[in-house]
Amino acid sequence: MAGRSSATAGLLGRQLKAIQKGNDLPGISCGLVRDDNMFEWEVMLMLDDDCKYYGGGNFCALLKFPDTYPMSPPKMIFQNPVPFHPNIYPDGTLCISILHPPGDDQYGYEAAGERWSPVQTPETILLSVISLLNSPNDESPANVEAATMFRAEKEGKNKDFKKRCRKCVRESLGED
Amino acid sequence: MPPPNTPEEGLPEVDGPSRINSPGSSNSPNLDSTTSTPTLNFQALEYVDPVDQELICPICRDPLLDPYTTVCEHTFCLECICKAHAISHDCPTDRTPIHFPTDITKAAKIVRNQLDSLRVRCPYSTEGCNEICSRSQVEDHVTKLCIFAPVDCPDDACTKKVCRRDAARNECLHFTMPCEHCERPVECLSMQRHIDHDCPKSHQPCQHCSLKFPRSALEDHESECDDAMIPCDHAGVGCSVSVKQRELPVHLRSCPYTLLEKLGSLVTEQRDKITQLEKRDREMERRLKSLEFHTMHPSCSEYPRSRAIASSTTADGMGEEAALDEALRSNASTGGVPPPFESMDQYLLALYESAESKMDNLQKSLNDLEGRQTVMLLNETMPIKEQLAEMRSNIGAQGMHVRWLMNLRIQERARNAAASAMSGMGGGMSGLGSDSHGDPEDGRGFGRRLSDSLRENPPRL
Repeated sequence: MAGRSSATAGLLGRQLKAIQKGNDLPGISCGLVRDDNMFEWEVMLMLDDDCKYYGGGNFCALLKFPDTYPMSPPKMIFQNPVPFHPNIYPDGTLCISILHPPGDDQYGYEAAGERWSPVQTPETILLSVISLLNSPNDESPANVEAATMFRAEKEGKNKDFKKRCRKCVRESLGED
Repeated sequence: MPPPNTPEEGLPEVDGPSRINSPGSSNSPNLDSTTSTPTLNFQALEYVDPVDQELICPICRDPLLDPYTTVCEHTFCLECICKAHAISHDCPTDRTPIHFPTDITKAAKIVRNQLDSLRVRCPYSTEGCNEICSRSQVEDHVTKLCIFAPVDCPDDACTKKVCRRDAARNECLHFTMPCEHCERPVECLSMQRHIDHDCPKSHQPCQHCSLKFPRSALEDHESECDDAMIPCDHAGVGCSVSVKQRELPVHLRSCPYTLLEKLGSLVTEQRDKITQLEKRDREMERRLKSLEFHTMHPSCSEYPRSRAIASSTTADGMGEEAALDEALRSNASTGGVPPPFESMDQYLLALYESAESKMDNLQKSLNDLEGRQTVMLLNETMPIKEQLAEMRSNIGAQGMHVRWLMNLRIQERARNAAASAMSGMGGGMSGLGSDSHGDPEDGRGFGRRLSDSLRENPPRL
């Protein structure tokens, strides 16, 4: 990976090792997509049964770090089967405020305090992702259909959202 | 529309503020350097000891480099905070607004001192430098002392680098010449390295006989070199001598272990057998001991045997332990020596006898128990049977009563009906009914009189 910042690669290597060694993130395992590329991580999220909609699911996502990390945030892209979630685009890209750079204020509904800061680490990102899966945010939907269904379910109209989520979970386990 | 995820935009150039504010900007890595002194990439330094978490920059996660503290009292590397400030004018940790350059100050002296005293390895350790020094001194070491650090070639016309040790020769060594052994073109500077490590034809001394061989043949030679020290053939049976290969036959002729070697297989065989037997012996002993304890009494004399039996029959669970205790006590009284047996057969016979007597006793007590149980059962079932018979008769009597009452009732009804029919026709027939049941005119008095008559003359069963 000539031309890419070796300092950034070193930082990512250390952070990856710390996650693999530590037990701070139960149910999460990280690895590299390719051994010679520190900038793309493969993350496996094994959600425990406390998660109302996605409990028991095994979701796989890519974390793509820019050369300018940690000044710029990485991207997180879920792989197939993509969880049916108000904040995940159908193509798998995750939409979460801490992964939005602070300068990027074009939408105006995210407080600067919620956005990326260089002191964030992959660990804090993954914790936020788990919390987002536990409680979806229907304020800024990336998947409008999911957000509508989620709202309907929150108002007690039907259980369609949960059904769709359980279907995703079964797919993620290779059952459907 | 929701926002797209993280547009990848280039970072603004951050060198500006860094240069303005940083008195230590000479420390920052200068990768495309053309100066004559080697430069040092502080971020790539290898720290010898683990570094305290408090001294780690929260942005680059390395030990702080040229630390600066913000108004909100968070400390970062100067380079990191400058880069972060170029993107967002907030403190990365708590997002307090920060204005450059007034809102950041050099970190406290104590922090700087702690950082300066961190011990690091010389960055040219892979080249062969073993120097370990404090971080404040490593730059001096690299720029002035380290003989492995690359410096500019002494020849002004040459732009290449040469390590400080070779630069001392004061001539440009950046030309290629054929290797004297393999005749491949090699740069003069790395010729020695090539000959020492790579060249397949350069002659290397054998580590045993000091003769020189081409590198490719050296390994073969070393394995069969006459001067190589090898252990005696009889090392397996204890000879600790090792001799040069050429002298081995001489040694073997006089080696005292030659004889042993011949016996070796026999010895190992015997050893295996002995360990096997020992194992079996231990097992047998264990079994013997337990058997001895169990049969101590019956094999000693007549009196303790009966006692042991008595104890084993009176308390089934406790019997064994009681017998054991008894055996120990009697052992103690006879001076701790178990009763002697003349032969194995006798011993086994004694065992058999005691077992048989125990069996007999058990049989007896079983019979006893059975008899007792039967009697008890009979005793208890007899009264129950009697009670059952009594109850059966009672029920029969009740049944007869009920039937009798029912009949009476039916007859009464029939008579009433007949009477009402007769009253329509005339009173002729009413005299017949009044014969057995008294006064027929009083309907209310009828029932009472019926029960009265029942009491006086109970129906026959």
